[in-house]
Amino acid sequence: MQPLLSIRDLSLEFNTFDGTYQAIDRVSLELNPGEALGLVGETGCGKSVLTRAAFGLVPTPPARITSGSVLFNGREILGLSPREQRAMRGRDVALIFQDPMTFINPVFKVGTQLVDAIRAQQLGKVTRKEARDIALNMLDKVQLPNPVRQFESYPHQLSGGMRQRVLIAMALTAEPKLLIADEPTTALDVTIQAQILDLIERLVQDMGISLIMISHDLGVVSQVCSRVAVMYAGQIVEDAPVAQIFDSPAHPYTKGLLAAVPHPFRPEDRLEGIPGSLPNLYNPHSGCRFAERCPLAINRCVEARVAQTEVAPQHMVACIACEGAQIDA
Amino acid sequence: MGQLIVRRLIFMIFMLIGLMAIVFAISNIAPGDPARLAAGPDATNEMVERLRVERGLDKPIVTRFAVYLSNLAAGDLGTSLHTRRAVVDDLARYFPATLELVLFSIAFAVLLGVPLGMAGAAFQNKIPDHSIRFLAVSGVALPMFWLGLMLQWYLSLELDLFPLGGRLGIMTPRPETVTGMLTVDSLLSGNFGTFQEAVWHLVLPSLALSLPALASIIRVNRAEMLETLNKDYILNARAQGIGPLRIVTAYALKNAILPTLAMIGLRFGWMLGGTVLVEGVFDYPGVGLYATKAAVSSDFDPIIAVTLVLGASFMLVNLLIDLTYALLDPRVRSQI
Ligand SMILES: Nc1ncnc2c1ncn2[C@@H]1O[C@H](COP(=O)(O)OP(=O)(O)O)[C@@H](O)[C@H]1O
Ligand code: SF4
Ligand SMILES: [Mg+2]
Repeated sequence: MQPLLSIRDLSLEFNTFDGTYQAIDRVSLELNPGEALGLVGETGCGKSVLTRAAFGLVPTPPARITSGSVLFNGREILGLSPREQRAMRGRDVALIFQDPMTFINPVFKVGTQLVDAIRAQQLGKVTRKEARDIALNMLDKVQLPNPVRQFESYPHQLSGGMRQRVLIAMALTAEPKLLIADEPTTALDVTIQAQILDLIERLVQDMGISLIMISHDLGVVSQVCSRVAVMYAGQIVEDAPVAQIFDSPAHPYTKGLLAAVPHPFRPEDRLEGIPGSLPNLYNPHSGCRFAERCPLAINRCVEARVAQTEVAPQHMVACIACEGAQIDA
Repeated sequence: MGQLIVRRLIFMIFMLIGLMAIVFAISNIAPGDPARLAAGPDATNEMVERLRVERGLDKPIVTRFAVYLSNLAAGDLGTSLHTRRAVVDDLARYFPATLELVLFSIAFAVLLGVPLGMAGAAFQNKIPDHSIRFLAVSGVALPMFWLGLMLQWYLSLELDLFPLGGRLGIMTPRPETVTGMLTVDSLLSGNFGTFQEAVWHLVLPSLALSLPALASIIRVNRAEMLETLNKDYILNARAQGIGPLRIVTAYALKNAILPTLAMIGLRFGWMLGGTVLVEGVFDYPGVGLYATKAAVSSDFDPIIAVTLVLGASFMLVNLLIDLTYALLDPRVRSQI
């Protein structure tokens, strides 16, 4: 089976006042049609930049893609012209984002923004009237109460959960092949989070859309995804089926993340995090980027690039301590 | 909305009374005896004193201000010493000219400044942006008075492209007065030759008046556009495949124009003040020139009256700007 999305060796840097920031370092990631992949890692590790850069949504400058390729349905999309990239967005790949408060334009009616998006996705082949019908139909599908009224509303008249439903509707009207959900519930009330997550899961299944669910919350990912890629400081450090990640995590960083998941029997103040913070990536050494925080680090970890090894079927890890190890699935 | 307008208009009246009180007080501290000036150089002391009592100039300043206000309410703004006409009649003649000049200038500054600022942001750090920024920086740096003189010297005296000053050539037929604005009146009477000439006379003074405003509108709008183009909702619009033209001219501009509006209001006020200088340079018969002539002959009624109309115009424009703000931003609208 040909993968739907295949990112190979992608590197990206930002040119800033302080120098060159190596935000993404030789990342490879594959997604099969119909698959739901979770992309996890702490804030700032590069999840958003990676997924946006693949579809031409990171402004260059300041960013610069220094190596790699991105195949979508077997077609290289990194070299496409801005116009060709734009034609793909919304049609082939859709994105929904973290904060429904800031990702929706405050001075245009909800309906206007939906109609604009739909007409862009259909490459201008539908009239405003047709787009309106599509929009209302879609608002119904995302279970927005009273769609006709919300269509005529301004964003500030809607709650956060309602706005996220609007943005989901906007993203999915063209039934794209891939949905990238970039922390879609992080900014919402806890009570709404589960509803929105259920909605995304259901729509994605009904429409047969492949999904990349970005989150720093392993709980969210375990509910929706079948596979998880763990990202640390611009690199993928572990990539495995969801059950493997939870039952037999291999990378010390993944283990740390799992320990940080709140547990009903562990008091709140005893939450074991990972001490330290993300390294600065202006002049990273070529070795393991987690070394400064890793309890197992040895000298060899920082000397050269750590390659990925397969420790079990479909379970890849980039860690010297795991080299040669085999984990029973 | 209607309630807001009424409230603001009432507030404006109080602001104007305050403004007048200040100008009234200043004109009374200023040197020169108004009774003697009014009576003329040949008047005897007796005649001056009689005039002083006649005009109530012997009363305390508070009483005189009260009298002034009640006259104002009756539509009487006093008499000008140097034109020897009622100030109200002078204003009816000169204010439309100034209004026409300022409206032309602000329209020019806004209609050019907003798109240029937008283009500068859309092509950030590319050649169009650099040229636009050059224009913006030089425009801010030039004083209006000097700019007016330079434009006059080069474009009128040297190249003979535009008239030196005034509102129309001597031989040009005047259109029948409806609004007092020559461009409007000439169009209303279908006299296109006069219209063209009126526009021609407006070009240089408008340029002098509007270049500084143009420059700051460009700068503010460019900066606001740049900030807006980095907003999350712009990323979302791009993710939907919406094209760059619509994103820049609608999705970003409608947000970026809001702070720019405040600058436009401010610049309108500067222009009203600037007419005093620019009308002098171009011998343009508006209230600015009228006030200058009054000032040199210690003719106070016109000065107070001009301050009043300019102040009122400024306040009205700011009300208009606030209403536009509400029109563009639904969040503001829902609060009023
Ligand atoms: N425009 C930019 N200029 C410079 N650095 C940036 C820019 N955008 C993102 N970065 C950096 O790239 C890194 C990855 O960011 P991001 O992908 O947003 O993280 P995540 O989504 O995982 O929280 C961060 O360290 C951030 O500071
Ligand atoms: S390579 Fe070394 S430093 Fe990096 S995670 Fe493995 S043991 Fe730790
Ligand atoms: Mg992110």
